[in-house]
Amino acid sequence: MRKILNIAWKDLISAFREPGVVIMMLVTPFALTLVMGFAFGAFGGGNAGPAGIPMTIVNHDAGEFGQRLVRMLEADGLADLLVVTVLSDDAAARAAVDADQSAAAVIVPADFSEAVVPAGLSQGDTSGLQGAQPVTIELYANPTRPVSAGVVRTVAERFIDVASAQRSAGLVVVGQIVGNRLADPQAMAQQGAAIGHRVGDQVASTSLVRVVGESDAAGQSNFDWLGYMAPSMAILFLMFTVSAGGRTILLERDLGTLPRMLTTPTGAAQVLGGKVLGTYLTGLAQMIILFVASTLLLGVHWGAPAPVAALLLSLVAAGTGWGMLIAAYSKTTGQANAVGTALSLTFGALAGNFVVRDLLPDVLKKASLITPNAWGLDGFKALAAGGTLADVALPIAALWGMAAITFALAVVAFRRQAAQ
Amino acid sequence: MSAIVQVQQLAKRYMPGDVLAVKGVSFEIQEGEIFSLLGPNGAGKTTTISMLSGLLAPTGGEAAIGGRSILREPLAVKSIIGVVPQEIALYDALSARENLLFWGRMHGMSGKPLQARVDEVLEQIGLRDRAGDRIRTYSGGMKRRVNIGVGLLHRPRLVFMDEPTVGIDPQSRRNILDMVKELNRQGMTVLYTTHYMEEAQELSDRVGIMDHGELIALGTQRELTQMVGEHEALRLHLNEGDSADKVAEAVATVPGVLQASATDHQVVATVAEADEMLAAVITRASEAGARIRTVDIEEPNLETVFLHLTGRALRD
Amino acid sequence: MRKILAIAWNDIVIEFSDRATLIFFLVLPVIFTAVVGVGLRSAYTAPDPNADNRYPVPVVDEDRSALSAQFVELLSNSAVMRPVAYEREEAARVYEEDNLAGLLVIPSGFGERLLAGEAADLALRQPSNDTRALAVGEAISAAGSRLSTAALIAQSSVAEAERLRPFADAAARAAYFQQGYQMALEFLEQPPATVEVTRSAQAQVVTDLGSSMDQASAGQLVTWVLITLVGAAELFVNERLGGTLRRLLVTPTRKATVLTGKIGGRLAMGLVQMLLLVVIGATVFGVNWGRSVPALAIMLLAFGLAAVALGTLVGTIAKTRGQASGLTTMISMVGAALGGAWWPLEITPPAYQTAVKALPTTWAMTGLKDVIVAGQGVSGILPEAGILLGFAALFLALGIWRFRYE
Repeated sequence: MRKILNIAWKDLISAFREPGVVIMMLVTPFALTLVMGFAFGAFGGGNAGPAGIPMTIVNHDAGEFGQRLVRMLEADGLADLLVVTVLSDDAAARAAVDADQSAAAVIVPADFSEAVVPAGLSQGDTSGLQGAQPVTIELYANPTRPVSAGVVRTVAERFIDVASAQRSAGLVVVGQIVGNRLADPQAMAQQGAAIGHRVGDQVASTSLVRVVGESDAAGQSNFDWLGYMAPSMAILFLMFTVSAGGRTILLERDLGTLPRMLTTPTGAAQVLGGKVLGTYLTGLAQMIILFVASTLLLGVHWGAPAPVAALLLSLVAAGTGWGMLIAAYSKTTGQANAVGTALSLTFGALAGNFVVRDLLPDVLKKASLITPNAWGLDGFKALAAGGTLADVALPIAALWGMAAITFALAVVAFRRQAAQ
Repeated sequence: MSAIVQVQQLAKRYMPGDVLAVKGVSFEIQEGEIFSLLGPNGAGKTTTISMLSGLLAPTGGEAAIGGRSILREPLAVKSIIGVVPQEIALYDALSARENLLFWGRMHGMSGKPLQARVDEVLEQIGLRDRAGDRIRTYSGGMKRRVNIGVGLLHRPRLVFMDEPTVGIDPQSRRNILDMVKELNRQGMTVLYTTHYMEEAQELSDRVGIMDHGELIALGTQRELTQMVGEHEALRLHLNEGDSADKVAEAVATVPGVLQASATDHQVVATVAEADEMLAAVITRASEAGARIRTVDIEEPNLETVFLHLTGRALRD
Repeated sequence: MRKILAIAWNDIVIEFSDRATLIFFLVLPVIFTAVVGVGLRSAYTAPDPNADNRYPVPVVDEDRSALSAQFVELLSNSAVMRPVAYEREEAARVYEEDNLAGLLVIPSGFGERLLAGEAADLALRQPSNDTRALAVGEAISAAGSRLSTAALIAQSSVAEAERLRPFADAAARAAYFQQGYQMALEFLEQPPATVEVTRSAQAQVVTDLGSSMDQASAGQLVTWVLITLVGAAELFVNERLGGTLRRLLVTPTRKATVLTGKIGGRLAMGLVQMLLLVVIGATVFGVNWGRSVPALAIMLLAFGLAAVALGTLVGTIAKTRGQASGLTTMISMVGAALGGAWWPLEITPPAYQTAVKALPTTWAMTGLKDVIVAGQGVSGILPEAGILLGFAALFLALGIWRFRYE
């Protein structure tokens, strides 16, 4: 056991002394986590999602609703989201979009207000409503900014909803009073607009239907990018570390230190045990450093310490198994390097280390269960949501199972090589 | 004196169907001696050492070290021996001291005794000042010395040194040879392989000569040179451009020349009495078109023995 | 020139003598394009009209009122989710086992409370930190808001009527509310205006939010070509450590020739890789690469030059092979991610968008999107290509200045 520890310790020290290894092991995953945190506004309190979207509006409607749309877009409440430029010329607005200075141009037709409240309505003439087709507000979208254009569209549609609610309110109140002969139609028609406004404002500001969220995590409604990406990047780069660990067996063979170890009174099983433990400890050290750094420096919430530790131990074991397997079936260090990197990246892509795992199609989600990455991601997701040891029992069992299988296969190959 | 190494009919075949790399060699090494295996590259020296140190399973035969069988008690054997491999088998991300500590632990050493011993070895290999620097910053000769130091750390009774002087400068080589002699003086038995005749000559009590996987001669230097008889050698240094082969052929026809061989721009003729044959050999060589620059008269040495036994020079 | 070609060709042959090169050169990029494209597709594109790709959400209707039925009806029109009726226990089981995006319970009394003009709650259980959950939550809120608006309007209408004349009894009042509520729902069904999205005639988008494959292909191309080209760093470090660089320089060959040859060989590799990825993307994954081949070619060439120049610069910084390969991977991946190759820049904060303008990858992605998505021609991408060439010149100058020939 002492010799196993001696070998493992030597490997751990050597790994952390290689600048190239440290870059791959610690710097890159941390940098990527930071970048993603920055990209998705995890710092400075901002929520994920677009902000400061440049847009232009051309209002051809002299009526009330066109004006109100412009005022709403320019209102303080949307100041963070939208940067609005008002133009009078359709062509200029489109040109701004084409030049990528604007995410979308909203073009309000001259008859917008008329469509919402036909002129005759206040005289009690409801003919303007009969079979009226809705008018079209054009949204000239910038194809290179689909998400921003989508946001502008949502804002415009919200406004139409409010206008629709106001109009409906006026029509319903007046319609019912007149229909039930509670008051003189002529007098009511004139009040219609005022009632519409009053009721409409009330409708826009209150909601009778409340959706009471019962999120599986405590108080999280927005997607927490950092919370997803910190474990995700750590897992991705753990695979690089363990495959590099396995590769040191081949490296030591070429270097002559492996045969030299076998000339000392040390059994082959002990030597292999030391190499495996060294890889395991290196991977574990990497995960712990990334865990501590992301918790302290980025404020990432991984979950309760005990289950996180249990999951980390299992994850690194499964990863180490894969690292050994790659080494066992590679002939040269170059081969092991290429296969290791390729497998690490492919596992990452399959399991959802690059895109969010939830978005992957089911086939891929199932297929990726052969990777430690997938189980790790599932496990950390459960823990970040406040899960306990019981919630990650399945991932932990699966990871140890994977470790056992990969390690057994690796030993078979190592045996066959030693026999020659 | 007793035999610390006993080798009987040791043989190795790497792949089924291949020729034997080592064809059943037998020899003994006595406690306290320096025993050299001399032979050209590919003669089977490293394969033999690898089998003795438990790295390769022999295809046939048996060997015992310190009375323990290498087949049945490999771990017991390994604690008796120290091995200095041909390549520099060290961790270049670690310092010399860290390397020594690591290998010491692999030999089951630990604690204060290990620390003390590491200091001692560092002193011995003359690297105390730079013990904390990483191996990768060392020169080739320094690395060689650490490579040897590792093999000596646990005070083995027997040390295997496989071509420890390959590819280093003359001064480092001198250091290493002196170190080997000093170790032997302190009582360590040394199995030394080399393809440098001079090294075997300087160091060895006894020499085994290997060629094509066979041990073709074995004995003290005196015994070996006597195999050649009381022969001497005439070494003709030719001008560049002369055909050494042609000259050697011509020289071999001189009555009294027992054997003649050519190496680059040199012809070596084995004769009974060099003084008597000198004139005849030079004349015949000149007739064959040789322009002789210098002639050496050499006492019989291991080179001549090898030449005598194989008809080839040691370094073809 | 001959020598330059000899050096370049030699490097390419050496690189491909290792079969592993092909994995990074072609296999991984294609796998990634496929996986990321599929992943992003579900995030960005509208569901296929022929298949119901909407997220199934179990709905437990414990109210069983006309209003709750109306609500479920509204939900079933959603573009995002598909309500599926279940009993309570069954629903919980299905939600957990199938890892669904939400579980909605309409509590009993929901309809009654709404009719009384009181606030009514819907219980929605959702997985945490799940992007699907946001969309489903939005859809449910929108449907709820429609009901709420109708109820509020009816409530106001009752209040207005009451001011004119009190109701005879509670039943009359309820009937009046019911009438107003139905009228409101009908009016709300007919909005006065709709938003119609139009785009430039050159735009290449097929769907509402841009084709996911286009984003994925361009992003993956940038990432993997970057790995190949910044990999020039490893090439230089290998040569220096192996002593072959010195050996090259003792031959009667000028330094400039050696450098040009090595850089040119690597650039050629990158260009071939880009060509293959463009062809495979177009033929296998149906990626459109824009309408202007010259514009695409100019962008790719400019990007290639900037990347290989960056590799040369990194090659002067790295001392060992390990450092070189570590730096290559890190710079390529972080640079690609930062520059918008992994996710669209428009969803990032403005400060971020400004900051990453200092990166060549940002300009490469912007220019490629101009060509691919906006369908622009040569004149449209000249600014981006120019900036990339500027980066190339800067990196190359720094690289040559710092280059150690020893």
